[in-house]
Amino acid sequence: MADLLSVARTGIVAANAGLQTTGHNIANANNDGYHKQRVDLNAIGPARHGANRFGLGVSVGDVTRLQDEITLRQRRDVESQAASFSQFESLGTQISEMFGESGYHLDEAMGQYFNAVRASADNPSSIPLRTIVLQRADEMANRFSGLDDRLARMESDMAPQIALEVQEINTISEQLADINKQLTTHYGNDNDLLDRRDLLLDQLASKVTIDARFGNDGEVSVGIAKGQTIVDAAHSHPLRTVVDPQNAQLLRVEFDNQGAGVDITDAIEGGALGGILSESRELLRDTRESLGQLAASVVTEVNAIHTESVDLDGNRGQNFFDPIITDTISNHNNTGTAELNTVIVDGTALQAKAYTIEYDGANWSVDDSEGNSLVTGATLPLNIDGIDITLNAGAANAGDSFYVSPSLGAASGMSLSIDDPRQLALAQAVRAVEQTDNSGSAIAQNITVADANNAALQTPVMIEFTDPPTQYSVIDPADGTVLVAPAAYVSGDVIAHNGWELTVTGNPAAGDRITVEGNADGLANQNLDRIANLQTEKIMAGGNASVEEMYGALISDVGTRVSSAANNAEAQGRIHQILTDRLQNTVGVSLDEEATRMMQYQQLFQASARVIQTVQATFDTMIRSF
Amino acid sequence: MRVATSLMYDHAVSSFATQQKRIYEAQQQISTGLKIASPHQDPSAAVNIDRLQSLEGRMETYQRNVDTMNERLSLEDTSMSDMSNVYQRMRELAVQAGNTALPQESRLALAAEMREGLQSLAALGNTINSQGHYSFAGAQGDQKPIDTFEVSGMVAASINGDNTARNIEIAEGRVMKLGDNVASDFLRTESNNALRTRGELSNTGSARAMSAFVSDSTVFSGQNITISFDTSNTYDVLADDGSILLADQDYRPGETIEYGGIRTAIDGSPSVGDSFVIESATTKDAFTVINQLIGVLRSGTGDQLSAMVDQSLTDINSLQEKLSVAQVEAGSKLNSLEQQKSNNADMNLYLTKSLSALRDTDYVTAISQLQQEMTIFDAAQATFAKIQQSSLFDHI
Repeated sequence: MADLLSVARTGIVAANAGLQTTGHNIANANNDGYHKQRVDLNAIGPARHGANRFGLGVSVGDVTRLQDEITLRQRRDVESQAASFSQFESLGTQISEMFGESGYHLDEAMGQYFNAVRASADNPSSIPLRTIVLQRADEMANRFSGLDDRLARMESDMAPQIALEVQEINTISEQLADINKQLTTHYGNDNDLLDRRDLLLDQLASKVTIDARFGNDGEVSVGIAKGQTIVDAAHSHPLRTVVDPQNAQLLRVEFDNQGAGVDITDAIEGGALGGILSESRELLRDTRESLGQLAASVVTEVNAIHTESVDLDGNRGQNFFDPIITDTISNHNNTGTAELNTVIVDGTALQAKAYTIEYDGANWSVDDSEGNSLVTGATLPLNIDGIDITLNAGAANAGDSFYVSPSLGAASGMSLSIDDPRQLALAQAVRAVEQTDNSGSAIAQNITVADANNAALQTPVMIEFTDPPTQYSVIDPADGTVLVAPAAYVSGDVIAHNGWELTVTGNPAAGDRITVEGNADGLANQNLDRIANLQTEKIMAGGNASVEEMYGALISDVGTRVSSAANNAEAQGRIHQILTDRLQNTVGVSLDEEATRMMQYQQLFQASARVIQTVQATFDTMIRSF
Repeated sequence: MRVATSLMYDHAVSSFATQQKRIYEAQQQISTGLKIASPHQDPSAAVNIDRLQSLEGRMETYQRNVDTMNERLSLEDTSMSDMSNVYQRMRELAVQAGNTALPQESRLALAAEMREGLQSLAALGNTINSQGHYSFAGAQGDQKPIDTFEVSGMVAASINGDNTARNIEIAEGRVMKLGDNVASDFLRTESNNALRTRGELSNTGSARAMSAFVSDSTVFSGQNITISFDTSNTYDVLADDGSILLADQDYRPGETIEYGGIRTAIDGSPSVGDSFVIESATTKDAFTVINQLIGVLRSGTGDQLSAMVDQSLTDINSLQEKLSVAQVEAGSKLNSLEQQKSNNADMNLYLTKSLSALRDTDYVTAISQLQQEMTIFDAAQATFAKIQQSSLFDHI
């Protein structure tokens, strides 16, 4: 009898344990990271009664937690990627939308500028038309710099976010280290602590891709980047942010290796932090560099034509746009006083590269970011990839080095240099005019400027054909002084003087004259269409693409990268969902199931109680029978 | 299979969010009228849109340029037609002048009308277009191409111009030249007995000479002469080799100077040492052609006059031909402008269509899309509300 009573008692205990666990499951049904728990019940081995064996009831074994370690691990990896993609997508969409905003339509501004130039073709002396050209150019320059400024701001706006992510990673690391400590000192399975551990690992994975390894007690060690261990047993190793020495607006991430900082910025992958540090920064950088190349090409090409031309007052053109000058960043270990800067002299040759300039005491050398030496020389300026590296002030000591990325931010430096519409130079610097009373058929053709820097380029001279007209001489129209002694004339020959060149064809008569002079008060526009043609002429990418096409490439690059990030984020999100479904289906709490279990345990309880009642009744019957 | 309760809620949350996003996108398309608001929505279409818009902008400029060219060339055409009428009248006058029986008064009357004709020719040559530039001065549009001055009762003219053309883009890759039709070209023709009159480059005085002409071809020997001022009011006539043909002639501004069948007139104040060279040449300008006839009409013999009338008629015909060539050129430019204008308009239509196909919302699709998304959203909400009502706990 006493046996049966104790058997029934075990049933009660088991029912209690079951209800307790079910209750715990129900309570945590909406708890993220909660793994459903289950009571393991074991039948108590039989007692021998003669030849028979009777079971002694049930014992409550471990309360175990349902697990699906493989799915959990997979989901963590997917989480890292999805977080990285969606972080990138959200920034990329901002960039893409910016290019779609009407105030930032660069192609529209460029089109309007080139069209304004084109529209002034028929009346190059019209001040209103010239004013429009300047206004459009100014608008274009503003859009270039506006776009670049906004992109730069997006880049620097990421700094606080980087700091926040790093701080959160550190907090999670500390918590994990704390959990590790508890796990190794507690006795037995602490299911809820393991849940907490897994949840923290999930959160960490959404910040950065991690490599988690588990010990016997469930303690975890976490590695990131190139194997830097941020959680190791009961210790956490914090990350820290430092200001980028090459750009004070940006942050870099270091791993604290016993006080010494190890830069792991470029090795960080995945998660929100990876999404910011790699893809987002890359896109911003690439976009800004492409914009810079575009701006620099327009600036130097337009300036080259403009300075070769003459303005409405017959003066030689000045720079149309200000030259793009970038200061270099001096290495903080420099001992000299040298300040260097770069001037973009040929935007079409500008590379999307960063350069390191070093001085060894005798020679300057310029290396690219991969450490390849590009050019060396004893003195500055040095020219490389369309930029002049010049010494601005001071002097360098041996070992000094400088860093510069001229294409980055070049677009910000775009600004209009002239403000008077009369200064817009559209006409060729020189013109050749046959004297109206020439008798022969000789005409001057294709006058071009071969040396725009020749000081005497615009000095008026006359080409006079002497008798017999097989010779020509160059004379001074002011007094007839012979400047170039008679030379043989052959039709089609190039005659060059004072930096200009022209071809004379036909048969001159003796005494025929061709005047070559500065192109003043003219309605000429020879160089106007050269500027307008820059819109479609293939001047960039080694002569393979026009400015417009490069802008198209930039837009499609941004668009494609962002849309593929969006697709990837969506795909990873879906995989994440599938894995979550699988995981939840294994370890999640179903309230209906728990309700069933609850009834089951309740009935176990009731049944066990009834057994006790039965024992009681049997006992009473027996007592009464005595 | 077990389904965790939280999963049902999670799914509902994410599907509501997705559905709302789709509804927002469809609504956005409808309200903005644009299929693509930012490049990432369809990168290749975005690039094409930019390219087409840029082309559209250029077409607009080309079309404006076509209109401007049209206006310029029409004006040139009209002026040249009027010049042609002047030549026609001159020819009639020249034919009348050939009548040797005419009394001197009638000849003077003819000469006077010719003189007026030259004034009209100068005025037409100096036509100013709507931009305020001289139509026939080429690139020197701010300077009068025909600078006339009265000398010896005649209208002398120096014709200037710079035929450096302006290139006007009127279509993708098509440039039309403007300003290459200059008076200095078409008001000048090849002729017999043509002379060139030039002040030496070293002259410092303000005197200028009328283009010399051969007034008496029977006397004219073809030799070059130089009129050289040895003082400011006397001149020598020198031969090519520097020998003096006429010495110390009194200079009276504006008065006719005649030597060896060559006639000219010099006006203004010469400096000592200034000289004017008159040499054989091949071309005459329209003013010289008429002036030579006026000169002989006023003071020539009958023989001289009929020889000159013949020469002048030939010259006028040849000038008329030069003018016609220039006019035909302008006319053919006007024709091809007309053609280009309609080509550009076709291109514009094509661009508008292509752009619209790429960029604009297709409302039928967009609205039915919106309907569909909203139906799905409603269904998702309804089913979720239904499912979450059923719980076993309700029955315990």
